Amino acid sequence: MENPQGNSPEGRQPPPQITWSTKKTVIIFLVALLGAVGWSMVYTVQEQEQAAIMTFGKYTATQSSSGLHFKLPSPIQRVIIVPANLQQKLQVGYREVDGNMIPVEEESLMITGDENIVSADAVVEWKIASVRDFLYNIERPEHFLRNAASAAIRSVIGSTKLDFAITEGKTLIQTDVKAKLEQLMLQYNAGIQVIDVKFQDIEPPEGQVQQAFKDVTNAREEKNTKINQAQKYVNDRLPKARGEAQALIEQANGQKQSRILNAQGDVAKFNAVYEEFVKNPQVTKQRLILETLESILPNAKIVITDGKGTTINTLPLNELMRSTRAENTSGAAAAATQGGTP
Amino acid sequence: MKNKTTYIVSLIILAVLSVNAVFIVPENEYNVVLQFGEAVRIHDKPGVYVKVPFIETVTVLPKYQKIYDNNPTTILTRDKKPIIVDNYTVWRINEPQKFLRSLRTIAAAESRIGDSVYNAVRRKLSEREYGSIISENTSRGDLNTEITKEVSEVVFRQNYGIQVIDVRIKRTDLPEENKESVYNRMISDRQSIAAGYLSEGDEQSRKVTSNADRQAQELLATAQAEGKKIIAEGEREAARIYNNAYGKDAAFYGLYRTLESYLTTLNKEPVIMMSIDSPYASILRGVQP
Repeated sequence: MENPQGNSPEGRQPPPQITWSTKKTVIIFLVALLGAVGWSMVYTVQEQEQAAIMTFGKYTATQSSSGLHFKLPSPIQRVIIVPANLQQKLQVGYREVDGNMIPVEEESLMITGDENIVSADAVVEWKIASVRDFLYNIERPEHFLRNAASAAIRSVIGSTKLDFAITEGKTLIQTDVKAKLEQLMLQYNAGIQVIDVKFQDIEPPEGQVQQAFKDVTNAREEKNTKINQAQKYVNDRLPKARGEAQALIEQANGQKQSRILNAQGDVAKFNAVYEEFVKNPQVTKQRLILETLESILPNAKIVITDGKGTTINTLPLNELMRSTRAENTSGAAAAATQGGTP
Repeated sequence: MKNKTTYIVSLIILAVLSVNAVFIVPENEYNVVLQFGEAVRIHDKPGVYVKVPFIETVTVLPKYQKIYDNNPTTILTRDKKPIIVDNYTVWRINEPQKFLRSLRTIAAAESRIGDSVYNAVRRKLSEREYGSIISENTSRGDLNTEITKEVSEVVFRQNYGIQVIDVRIKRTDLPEENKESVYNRMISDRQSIAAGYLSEGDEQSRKVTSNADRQAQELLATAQAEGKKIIAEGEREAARIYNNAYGKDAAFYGLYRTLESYLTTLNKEPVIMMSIDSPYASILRGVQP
């Protein structure tokens, strides 16, 4: 932390030469001293740095512009250069070594409000807010910050439930931790401004526990799959049923219409015949009967009886018809008489 | 020549003496001037000061706040649960003279602080429930504040010349075997939740599909009923049409319809018993009808 500009030894010891007079030695000595003093009067401040200037130990000024600057020689004025404009990062719960994240379980594992254990790691982004406080109020600022950050994280997680912490709680936890850490920095007058607290992960401890949590996620997915499949079944089933129902209605309508049309047709025919019948009932009636007989009898087996219920005197019409149409008809006689006498 | 040497030597001695007599006190330190081990002056403001060379010596003490990491302590809480608590303490020297008289060194101070914190933490935490330690919220407010207050009172009474600014729980942990049982409980918790999800899936699925089945069945039944009504309407309409027409002459209808039905019922090879006296046969016998 202390600036390197002290008493520079360069050229202070010229090779002693017997021939030189004491005067010369004194001159060389004075030149060397002057050089050293001059060297201690300049210092440079980089872009991201600020310099605290102490005059006889007392903090007198802050040099915040970068470049080459002058001061009174040591030990009258001294400077301490700090990276005050630099945003710095502090890792809690893990360390980054050569780009690899190495977990620090001691810091990352903590107990939640519902007595479970969770693993949390975070990055604290901070910068020096007050050079004076940063330099003189605290010893080992990073150590202060790390301890305070650990305490803040643990305290917030300790009043948060596990499920909330590992799901949607991250943002809220971050905000709370930041507020708590800011408050602690204020309390310690650390001269540190907390810019942000970002959690990398808040998750169940690695291994079997984490696997169990993954299993829950899988189960939830499976549940959704099942519901989706059921919905698919519904989407298939209902339209089909509606179609089927519509088909039934259509069919019924068709049946209805056809019944009515049939009736109308039947009636039309009837009416036509009836008109004729009215003109000459006797003839029409006979004609109708005979026409019917004509269309029935060619195929019928006719047995003519004597009206006394016996068939003894039956004409052998049957046999006659059979012989003439032997080839066309099947052997078995048709059923018994189906109609009465006309 | 001898004169000159004496002059130079005395000059050097003077320089050494003056360098030893002047000292600078920086912002973050107390400089205590001791005379034979006894503190005679304390400089707590930065600046340049002088002292009697070699007779008086200067001891430097930190003015800034220091942080002390306490050793983790295992405590049995009021509800008989073991817990490992790790604290840190922020403290500073506020009265250097007292400090030098009682403690002298930072290490001694840290040892005392360690003891008081240990006692306070132990006592406070063992009368708390596990849950309230974890959340730091007790019925009386913040746990850290309580412990800080107690420790700083103890330290104040001891006249150590130090001030305890904050005692804070940095970490709470469980002994290894308890950790294992917490893990097991977490796992079984999750397993039951997973099983719940799976059954819920079945439940929902069953509900949805059976509901669809019912709706489908209802749709069909409704349509069937509707269909029957429609058909019945057709029947009624047909009957009305028939009645209108046939009602004009019931006798003729009887004949007409009978003849029509013969055409359908006697259309194959009916056997017809015909009386010899029937009008149709009568002509065959030569009888004029």
